[in-house]
Amino acid sequence: MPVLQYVHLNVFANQPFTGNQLAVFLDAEGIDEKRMQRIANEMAFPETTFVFPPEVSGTDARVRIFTPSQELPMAGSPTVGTTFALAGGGRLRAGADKTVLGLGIGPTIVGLEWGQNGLRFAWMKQPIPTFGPIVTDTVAVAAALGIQPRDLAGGNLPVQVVSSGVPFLYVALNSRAAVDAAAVDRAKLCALLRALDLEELPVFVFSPEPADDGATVYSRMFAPVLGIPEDPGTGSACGPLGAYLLKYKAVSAKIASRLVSLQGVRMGRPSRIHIALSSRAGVLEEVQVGGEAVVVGEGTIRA
Amino acid sequence: MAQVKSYRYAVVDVFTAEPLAGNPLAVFPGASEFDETTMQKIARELNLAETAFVLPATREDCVARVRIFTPAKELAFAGHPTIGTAFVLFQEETISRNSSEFSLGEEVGPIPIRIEGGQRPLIFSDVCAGIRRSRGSGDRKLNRTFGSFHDAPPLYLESWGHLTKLESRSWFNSFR
Repeated sequence: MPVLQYVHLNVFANQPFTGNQLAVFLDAEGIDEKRMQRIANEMAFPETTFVFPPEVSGTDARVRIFTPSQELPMAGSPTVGTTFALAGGGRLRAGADKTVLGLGIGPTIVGLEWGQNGLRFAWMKQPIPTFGPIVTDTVAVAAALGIQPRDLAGGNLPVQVVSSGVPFLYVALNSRAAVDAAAVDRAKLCALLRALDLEELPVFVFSPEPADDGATVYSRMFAPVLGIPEDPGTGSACGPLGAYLLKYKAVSAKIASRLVSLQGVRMGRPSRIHIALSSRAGVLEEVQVGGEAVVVGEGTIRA
Repeated sequence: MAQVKSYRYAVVDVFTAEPLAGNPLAVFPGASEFDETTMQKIARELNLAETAFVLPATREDCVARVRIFTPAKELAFAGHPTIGTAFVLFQEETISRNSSEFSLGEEVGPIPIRIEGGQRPLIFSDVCAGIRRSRGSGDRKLNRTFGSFHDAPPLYLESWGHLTKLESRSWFNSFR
């Protein structure tokens, strides 16, 4: 029976038991797709990644990302966490300013910042987000989230679908308390989206209400459609989040060069996800999502 | 740098003879250093249906004390964690390979276990003992969950457990 090693990390965090759990199999050659899915299901983390030799020239490795129920073409915390696992395993040249990982969506650049104890920060370059339909029935949105219509920020912050590969429904709320109070009613959410000819989507709720933690927004992400009731740290949602905040002038272009989304607090797993946007003459040119990760364990699967 | 310490745990697939099937359970065979808050944090971190922590026995009629946590809360008693923990203790030889009957001390009281040895040991747990005791202890939630077994004869669960991660290790340099 083959013995497979994995590294267990907490991503978008620098303390154990916070951030997003991730398992990384650094030597995945020979594991077929069906087995990867079963292993990801067994691990029961939001995501498990499998690292293969590069398939495309110019990339340093092929990385496949699985939730317990499906493969994802891209995702933020698995990309950042896999980069930390590669660095910890001596698979990246110390001091290199970037690595290129072959994800499902294609070659993806990850910027690297090194400190005294190895990799300190990883920045994932994400596609420029695209904006989808706006949901105008705010009463229905509030009902689908179990909150009051007055909790919605409204005004210049519409409820809208935005995507960098995986679409999310973005809902801005007035207060952190309202974000904490939100609970998705899946049937109402589906009905709301069906009226717009949309399939079920994960929902990203956030509030720009400030506090003393340095976060630009306080957020939560619900993805019952992906088998994830709530996710503590969703990197793939943060590129679109930053683009949304910039487009609707919730932040200035200057501030958008370094934003922080504080997610997962309500779950007891705080994640700090950094977002860096650069634009020229009002046109968004580059989106990066980054953070820290900490190795909390390792293991061996005999399967 | 804080002191980094490593804690060994097994993940066992319960109710199956095939790896990556059945119901996975994490078992920490030596958990005496953990307080309740830490056990809860670990169970939430591992995110399996349950995580079991083995502690020294607190009563003479039990070979060990076992505390069981879901990612959200502690359970006074549960079926698949009982079977899986017994399997790990048997594999680790914490319990002698010759012993065929013993009890694990769960929060609800002693749970009798019977092992049929062999290449693939079969483990039976007297689930009704757990149910009877939880009824007596006034754990209403457990009573509701198992209400349908009210007057059933002793019920046995069976397992060909399979250790998938016998060598798993975790280290946590901070529990706060």
